[in-house]
Amino acid sequence: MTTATTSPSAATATDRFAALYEGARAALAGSARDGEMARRDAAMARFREMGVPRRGDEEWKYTNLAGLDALPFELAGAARVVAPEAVEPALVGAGPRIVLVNGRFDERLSDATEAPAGVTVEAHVPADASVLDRCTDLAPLPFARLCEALAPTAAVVRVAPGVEAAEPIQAVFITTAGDAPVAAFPRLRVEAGAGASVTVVETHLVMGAGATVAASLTEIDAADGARVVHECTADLNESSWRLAAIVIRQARSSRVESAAVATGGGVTRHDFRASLDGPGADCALRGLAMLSRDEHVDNHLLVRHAAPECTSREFFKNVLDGSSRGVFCGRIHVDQDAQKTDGVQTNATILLSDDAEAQSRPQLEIYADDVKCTHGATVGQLDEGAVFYLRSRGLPEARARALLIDGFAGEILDAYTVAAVRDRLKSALFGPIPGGAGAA
Amino acid sequence: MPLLEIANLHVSVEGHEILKGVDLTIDTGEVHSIMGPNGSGKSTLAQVIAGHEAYEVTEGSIRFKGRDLLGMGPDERAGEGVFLAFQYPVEIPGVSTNYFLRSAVNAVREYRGQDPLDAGSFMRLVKEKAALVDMNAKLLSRAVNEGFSGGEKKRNEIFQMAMLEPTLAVLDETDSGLDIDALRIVADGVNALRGADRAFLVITHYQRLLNYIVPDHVHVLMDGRIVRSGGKDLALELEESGYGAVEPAAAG
Ligand SMILES: Nc1ncnc2c1ncn2[C@@H]1O[C@H](COP(=O)(O)OP(=O)(O)O)[C@@H](O)[C@H]1O
Ligand SMILES: [Mg+2]
Repeated sequence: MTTATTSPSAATATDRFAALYEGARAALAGSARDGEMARRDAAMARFREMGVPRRGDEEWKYTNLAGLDALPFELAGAARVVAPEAVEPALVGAGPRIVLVNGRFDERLSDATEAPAGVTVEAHVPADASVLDRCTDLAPLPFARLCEALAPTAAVVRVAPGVEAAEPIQAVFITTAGDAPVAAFPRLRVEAGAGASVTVVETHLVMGAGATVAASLTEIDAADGARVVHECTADLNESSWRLAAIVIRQARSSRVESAAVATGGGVTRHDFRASLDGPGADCALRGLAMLSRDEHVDNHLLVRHAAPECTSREFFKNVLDGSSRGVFCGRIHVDQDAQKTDGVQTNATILLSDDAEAQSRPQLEIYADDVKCTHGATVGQLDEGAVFYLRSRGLPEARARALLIDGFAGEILDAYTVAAVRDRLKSALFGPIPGGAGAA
Repeated sequence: MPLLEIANLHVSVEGHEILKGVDLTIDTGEVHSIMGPNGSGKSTLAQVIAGHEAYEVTEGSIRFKGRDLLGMGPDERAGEGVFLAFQYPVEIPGVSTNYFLRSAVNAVREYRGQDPLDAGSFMRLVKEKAALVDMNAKLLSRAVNEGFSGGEKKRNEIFQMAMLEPTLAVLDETDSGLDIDALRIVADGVNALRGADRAFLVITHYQRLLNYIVPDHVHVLMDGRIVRSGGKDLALELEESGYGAVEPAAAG
């Protein structure tokens, strides 16, 4: 982590982002399509109104962004070349793949030629941000607006009505860190037409050891009866700031699952927003943070039940070692018309060290009278009774503890439907699995 | 040399003395039973043998195969051949019984200098031992003890015992919460494992289990001391007269 060494003349991060935009505007305008620059300008204006959240901002109470002020970041370079071998280990399968390096489409690393009929995977600037607009009705998302303004392009996955995309589609966002701090703006859009079905794997890679700030925006739009599975992983470095918004809009009877695993990095903030706009929509959000050193993950969720008979499930877990910090702030908001809402939200944390810290604030905000909503949070240490039980069966202490953590985290990891993502996460977290058998 | 030799064992929990000088010697091939009222210290003795760190041994010794058992961690004791069937088996969320067992079997094999079992040999062993206690195969893919009924948990303990092939098995109230059919199945499982190279310490509150697992020696534990020892008939006598009638002076 970079520590603040603010000199009186230093610009704030808000000013710096504004300057980045001024500097990039001419180039962006050069390739802009109708109305694009007006939208970018408007998004930037909204960001500037809000600015980088300050200490007193209740929504950012546990994530201190003051360190950004001391970071003289520039836009991530356009001309970086990434070798295919460097990306290879992160690839999850033979399905279509789109790769953006520092926000620009990389044709060499991408492979969307195999996309089946009715499925398009391409890079372009979306013509609207209607999902983001909808999901910021109740509370703003400054960094998502920043991404809307500054992302050179976006990875856009579209599935036509009724089409089932069999293979997972992967969107890879690479940020190349250098000697000087860089800022990047990864943007992903998933549009599933009525009755369509698709799995999208979102992969973030920071290459190199320098500081990075990534304001990323993922928009998922699920039409009537659509099914979307979205699984996100990030391989970061310890000087990375990942400020991510995942915004989801769901129409009637659609189902969206979105999961994000954080295994390190410097500061990570996930803002999940789901707006369940059509009756019978079903939303499942999951997260796991396994942290050590002084890593920090803040999962913020706001699930809005805006229509009747919708279901939402939010399961988030943290395993915190070292002096790491895990924050969970979840809110289920039930509109007055959203009768028969069924919402469950839980957050469980295991603290492995005395210096690790957990904050948990599950909240319900209910304006309808016929709903079933529950929430719960637990923070504790590893169950020593279970450690003894396992040791009494011959498992050495370290192995017993690892197995318990594996079991705790497994509940989130095992819900990852893309086997390659799950296996990669598991072996990164727990090492090679003996005999290749899973823990559950 | 006896298999297990407990001498003048004093054990405290949080400064409270629970075992107040226990002497007990078990030879290979024998089945001993400890009976006693609730709170007399039976589980404390079992947990201390298995190596639970919350129990502080303030005096006395336990030797196993002539070696100092108290100096070993719980996993070393398991490797040496000590097994405890818990009175209250622990749930391990998210870890399947199968995976847990394979980890345990291979950890113990590694300790004993044996090669790990490959997936095929492991599954064959599971099948054989599960049949011994009529263990439902569906339970094997579920998380350890999670959502198991009381009886299923106890069966799982005996199943694990069969898998780990201990030299000394301590069964702590394995009979409590079992109906008569389950009790018979568990007892049959234990009897199938009886042999010249193995010993059992069967802890029970009731005499009933001892109709099925017939012990060579019965000891009565009261208030942290063994107050009487005898043959299998002692259990029947206790059943009739109750613990109240036991004469502490008759200890031996
Ligand atoms: N972990 C513990 N902390 C405090 N007291 C305990 C603990 N374990 C057992 N005891 C006490 O020790 C005594 C013996 O308990 P236990 O060994 O479980 O008896 P038994 O198995 O014969 O019923 C009881 O009075 C019990 O309350
Ligand atoms: Mg007991």
